[in-house]
Amino acid sequence: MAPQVWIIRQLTSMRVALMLLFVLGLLTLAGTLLSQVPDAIKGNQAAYAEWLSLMRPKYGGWTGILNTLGLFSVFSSIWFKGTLLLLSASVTTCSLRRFSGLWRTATRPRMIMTEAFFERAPHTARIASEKDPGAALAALRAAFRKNRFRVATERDGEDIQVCADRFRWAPFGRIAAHLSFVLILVGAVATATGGFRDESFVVPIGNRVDVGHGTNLAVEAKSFADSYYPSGPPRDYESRLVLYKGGTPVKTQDARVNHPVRYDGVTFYQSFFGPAVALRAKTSDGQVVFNQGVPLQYVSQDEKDRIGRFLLPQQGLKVFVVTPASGEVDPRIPAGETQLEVYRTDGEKPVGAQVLSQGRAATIGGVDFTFVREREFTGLIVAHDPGSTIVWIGSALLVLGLFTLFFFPHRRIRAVIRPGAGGSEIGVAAIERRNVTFADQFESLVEDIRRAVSGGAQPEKGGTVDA
Amino acid sequence: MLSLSQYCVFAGIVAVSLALICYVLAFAYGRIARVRVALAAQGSGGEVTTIALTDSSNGIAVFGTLTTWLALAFLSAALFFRWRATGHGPFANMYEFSVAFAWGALVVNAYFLRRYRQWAVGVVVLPIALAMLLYATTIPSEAEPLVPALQNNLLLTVHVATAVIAYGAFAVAFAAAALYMVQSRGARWGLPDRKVLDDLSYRAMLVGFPFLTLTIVLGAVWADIAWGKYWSWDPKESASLVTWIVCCTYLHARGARGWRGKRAALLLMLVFAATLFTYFGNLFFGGLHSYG
Repeated sequence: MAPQVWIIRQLTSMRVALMLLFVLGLLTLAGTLLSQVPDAIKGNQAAYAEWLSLMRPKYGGWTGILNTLGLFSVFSSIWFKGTLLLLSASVTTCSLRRFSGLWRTATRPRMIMTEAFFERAPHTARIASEKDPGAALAALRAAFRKNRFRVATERDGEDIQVCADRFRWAPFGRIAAHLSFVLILVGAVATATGGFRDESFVVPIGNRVDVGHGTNLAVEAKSFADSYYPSGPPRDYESRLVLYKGGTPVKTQDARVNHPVRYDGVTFYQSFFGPAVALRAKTSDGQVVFNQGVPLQYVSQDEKDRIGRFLLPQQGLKVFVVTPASGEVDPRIPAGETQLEVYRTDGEKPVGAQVLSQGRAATIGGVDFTFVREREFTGLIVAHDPGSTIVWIGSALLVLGLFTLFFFPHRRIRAVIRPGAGGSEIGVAAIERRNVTFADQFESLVEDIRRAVSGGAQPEKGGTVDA
Repeated sequence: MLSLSQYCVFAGIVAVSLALICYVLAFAYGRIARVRVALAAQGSGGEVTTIALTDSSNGIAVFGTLTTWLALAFLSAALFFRWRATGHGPFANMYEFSVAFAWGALVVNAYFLRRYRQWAVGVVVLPIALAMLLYATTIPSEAEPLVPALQNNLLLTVHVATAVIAYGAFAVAFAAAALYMVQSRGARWGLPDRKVLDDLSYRAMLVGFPFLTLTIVLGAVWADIAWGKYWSWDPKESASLVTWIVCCTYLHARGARGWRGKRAALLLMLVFAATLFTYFGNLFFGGLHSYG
């Protein structure tokens, strides 16, 4: 057997598809049960090693094995991605292969059925009518229409063969649902490889910060407010943002949880907040080289202090700003004061350090620093996700496909009208083995047909299709 | 209004318990009657092929069905009053979700009861609903205000309501599968025909699976709005994906490979196990769904 034939045979094999689903289920279960490495430390070897050492008490001797197998990063492992890839190929191949069959069933059904079919189908009924075949067909058609069936007829000698369909396009929901799976994966790949996502975009209140990533956007945080219910839980976090494009203000909006700000494909989500310190730095000749808020977005290892940092590149300095964390006491730094630690950018040795109270200034490393006031910063997630639109289209297709397929199942009922003694003989049959309740529906339809053909309808010719 | 809601939950617990007792009694009466008819038939040398339930067992079962509807009415009222009192869909914490889960199981059970008229399925569904309601009585029922992440009334309501229907459908599918499994060859124990149970469980899955899919998609939409990421591999997300994959496996195995009977029933039990894992998983794993 040629390799390509073997591959296609495997990809269209339901046994293989089921095995892939089984493996995917197991891997997802493993990813749910086992601790997963946080994304933030995946690229940092030292942090990764430290995380692994934290896992050792939990997983003991299995830690190394699980790590080697990639089970601490299941969803980015080769196993998971490979299974998804194979499953996508299987789904695509199966869908393409099925399409022509479904199309033929929906548009060009076999019209002539044998007498044996009308005798041996799982659901059959025989009805005698006093009407001639033309009138019986009109009555039959009316009964099917009443039950919202589309009717196609064809002459077979003296017989009239009838094919009645309801929801004949519904099986295409299967194709839509399967291909949507592939579409969602394409969207996920676009999300992972394109766009950007900054989860710690910090804007001190009163400052403007460039978004970067080639967007030419900047964000100014005008204000931040956090409110709480009387019983204590948070009620709302709200940042008043002004967006600038090329230096021109283009949008002013409050960013709140569940109410992000969107502009030009970039979305700003309210994520976190914290204290900031407004500082001014002047050189000895009076030139102001820094005058903005420094977000204290880091926490010291002992969790007693909040720390922020900024650079003075012209002066070759980096400055750390330290204040006691909320509710903590640091004997070195009195409440309401802040400590500046200044280092050379090319070295670890401190140039100087000083504790400042609000409004006070100090000279460190030849630069005059003034602690202007305490402020807040707002923390945003800034994201541009080119894959999400594809994911939403795929998701809509998936949901629509499944609901169409399962809630509007295709029903096909056959009938044959023959001239008989004193009128016509009508045979009705359907193949629907799986659905136990279909027997009731079939009976109800047959009753409608029986009533219709016993009434007085006008005759008509066969060989037409109702739209 | 909150007290009214709680009274309705307690009334629901009583009604579900009564319905369950009725069904168990109806089942027991039916069994005794069958044994008597079988013994009589043996005594007279006759052959027993089909035996209908006795009038008394039917009467008790009808009473059980009526009480099931009453329980559904009580739980619907409980959710309605809770909704009115809190101003949001009653799905914001484990208490509300547990009551809603029980409601979902009763709704789907009622739908299939009307369609298939197989009250015996209630013998398994009602204990599940009762367990959820009793669990709800053990956890705090205070109506806490919504934290910012949950302040999206539309998505909170629709996302969890679809989950409740899906979970309810899986409970019914599980019940039918369990009744299938307890019947060994030739010993029906007076339970519904296995072919009917097999079909019923499949139909329940056809309801549950699209609703689970919708739940996951709506959850992704909400995550994108609230957290800026439609998928974070949060434990609850991953667990719901496991359930979705097991459902897919069942539907493909049954639809394309012709799996019926025991194998299909076992997969359905796995679906329900995965559902419970998804439901309770956040209690053990934390993550973004820490509130419920």
